[in-house]
Amino acid sequence: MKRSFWENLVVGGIILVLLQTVVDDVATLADWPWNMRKILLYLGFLFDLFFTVEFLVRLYLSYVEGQAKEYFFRGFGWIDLLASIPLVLFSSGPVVYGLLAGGVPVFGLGRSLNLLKTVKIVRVARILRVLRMLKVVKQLKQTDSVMAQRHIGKIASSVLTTCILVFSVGSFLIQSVPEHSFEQMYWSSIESACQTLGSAPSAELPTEVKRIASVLPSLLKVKAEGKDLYLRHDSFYLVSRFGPYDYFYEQRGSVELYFDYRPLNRFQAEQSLLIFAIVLGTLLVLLFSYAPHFAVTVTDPLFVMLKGFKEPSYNLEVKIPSHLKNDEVFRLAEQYNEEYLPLKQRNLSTGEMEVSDIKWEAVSELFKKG
Amino acid sequence: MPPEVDKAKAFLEKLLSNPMLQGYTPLQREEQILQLFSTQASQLAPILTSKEFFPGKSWTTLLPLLIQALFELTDRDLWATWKPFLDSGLSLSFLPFLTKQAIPESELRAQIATLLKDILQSPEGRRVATGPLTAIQQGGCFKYIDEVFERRSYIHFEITKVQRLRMSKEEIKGILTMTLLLKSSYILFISEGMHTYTDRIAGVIQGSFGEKVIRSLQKRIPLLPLPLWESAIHSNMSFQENRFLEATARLASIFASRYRTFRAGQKVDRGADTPDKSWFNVARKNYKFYGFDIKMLDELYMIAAEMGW
Repeated sequence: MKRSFWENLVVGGIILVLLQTVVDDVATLADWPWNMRKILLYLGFLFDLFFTVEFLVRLYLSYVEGQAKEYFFRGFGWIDLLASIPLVLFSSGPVVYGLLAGGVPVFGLGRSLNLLKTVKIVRVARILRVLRMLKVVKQLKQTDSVMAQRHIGKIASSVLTTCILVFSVGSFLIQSVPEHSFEQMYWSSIESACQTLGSAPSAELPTEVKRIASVLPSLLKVKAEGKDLYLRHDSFYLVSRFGPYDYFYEQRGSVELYFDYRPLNRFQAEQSLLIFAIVLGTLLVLLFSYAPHFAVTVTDPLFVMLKGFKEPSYNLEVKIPSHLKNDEVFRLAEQYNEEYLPLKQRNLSTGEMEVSDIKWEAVSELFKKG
Repeated sequence: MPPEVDKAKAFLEKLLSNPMLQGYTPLQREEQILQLFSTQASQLAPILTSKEFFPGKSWTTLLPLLIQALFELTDRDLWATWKPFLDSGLSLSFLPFLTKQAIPESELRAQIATLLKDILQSPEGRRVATGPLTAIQQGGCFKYIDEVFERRSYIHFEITKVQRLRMSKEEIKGILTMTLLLKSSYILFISEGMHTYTDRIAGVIQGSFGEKVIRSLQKRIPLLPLPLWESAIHSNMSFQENRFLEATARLASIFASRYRTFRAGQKVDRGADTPDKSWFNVARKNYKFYGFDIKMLDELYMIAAEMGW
């Protein structure tokens, strides 16, 4: 069946949003200039908005047709939901809102564990976009068999959903084990620096700042009583490389501290790319290894038998691989080869079955054409 | 020519050009159309007898007209291929191996052509000739002779040692072709009510009837050596009833049956076995029913399996 323009647009959008997600992570890892990363963030938001509207329209139309339940549970509506509204609310939406509100990200307003968790939610929520790959899988005609399509779709959705849920839940669980968490180690070093500098006497502050800056690369800038005490990079570098959520600010008494948040972003981008690679790899294995295997072992022999039952002149046997001969499908195929086809051949000879390869539809077409 | 004959031919031409009939020989296409007339009569009759197509005709008067027109169209296509073949393409190089008598080839070719025309006069003749003529026309059976001579197994032994045809495989192919060509000639001696001599279902004839046919045919075309007539007519007999049938007769019997429904360029669906392998395996199950030599079928099946045919 030919896909509609809308379906092609959605599939194109899915592929683009996945590309955008990967490129966004690569940009974070490769420390791309902020301007470029900003464009990617806006793009991500536009895609999420597009898919949110698509979900709402589909839901409304299916509701009007009385098919809302069918769409939600069998037509991947749950994927449309998970990969649209939560993203707009918790991921790209807050980021873009922060940018539009004067460059201050919602989660960059203060330092606390909540900040870390919020950023984590944003990153983890982006993984939900990967769920959309299931819709692309559904569109891929890896086989003519409806059964194979549904079977592969079911396995793919189970595996992908499990991967993403395990990753999401696992990320939070790992975070709750401080000794083993990169984020907690990062955070404790920041906390230690803040305490030291916040309690240091004014006279010793410059020495302390130098010492801590040499051992703590995340320390970007220190100000005391409105004057710059320390600046790791020049202003041009800071403006061109740092976005609103690449650093955070902390004040302890008269001391103001700016810390580099990019190491954590990079860590999360690595995790995001890893899960993306796992999901993509799993899908590729399902599509190009499992789907052909399923076809060979289940749908192909069934197709041949079905054709043999339907078409009187079709007399090809089912090919039975010797190592699969004990499979139920091939045991059935053996019965078809050994019993049904010879019987059918004899019936053809006796005239009990009359055969013509010309279908009545083709003949009636002739009459229509005159 | 009456206008309704032209109209019938125009309609049939369209039917014959149906893509589903591609890969079939003219006689096979004819059989397909006849089956269509039979299976779809209830739908075809009201349309074709309407005022738009053949007004004033009933189905019982229209059907013979359609069938006659179909035979004429088939003959036109059939003889376009068969005339040049019978005139020059048919190899008779095996004749010196079978008889020391000098045989005027052109006269023999003309007599065979006349015989074939006579066979194709009746609908039953056309039906029984479809398989053997398709086997010759499609030529697929000759590649098996090449393999048989390569392997030198049961069939080779039966041909060269039992039937004592000590000649090259090209001559064997010639004998097989002639056997297939003459195979249906028994039909000339079958008249209404003579079905006790034949099993129309399995396509086998009784031995005593076959021997009478051989004698009659030898009188009709004496130029053709007796072993050829025997091979041709015995190819209609059951190997289960006569274990002394010529190897070429047994082969012709199998190939005529195989090629009756053969379709050139048949698409092999994924998960299906190849056409020849499938057919030979099914025939192995039905060998008693059709009177085939099971050992020959086994060898042909092995060849088809190994060669991917």
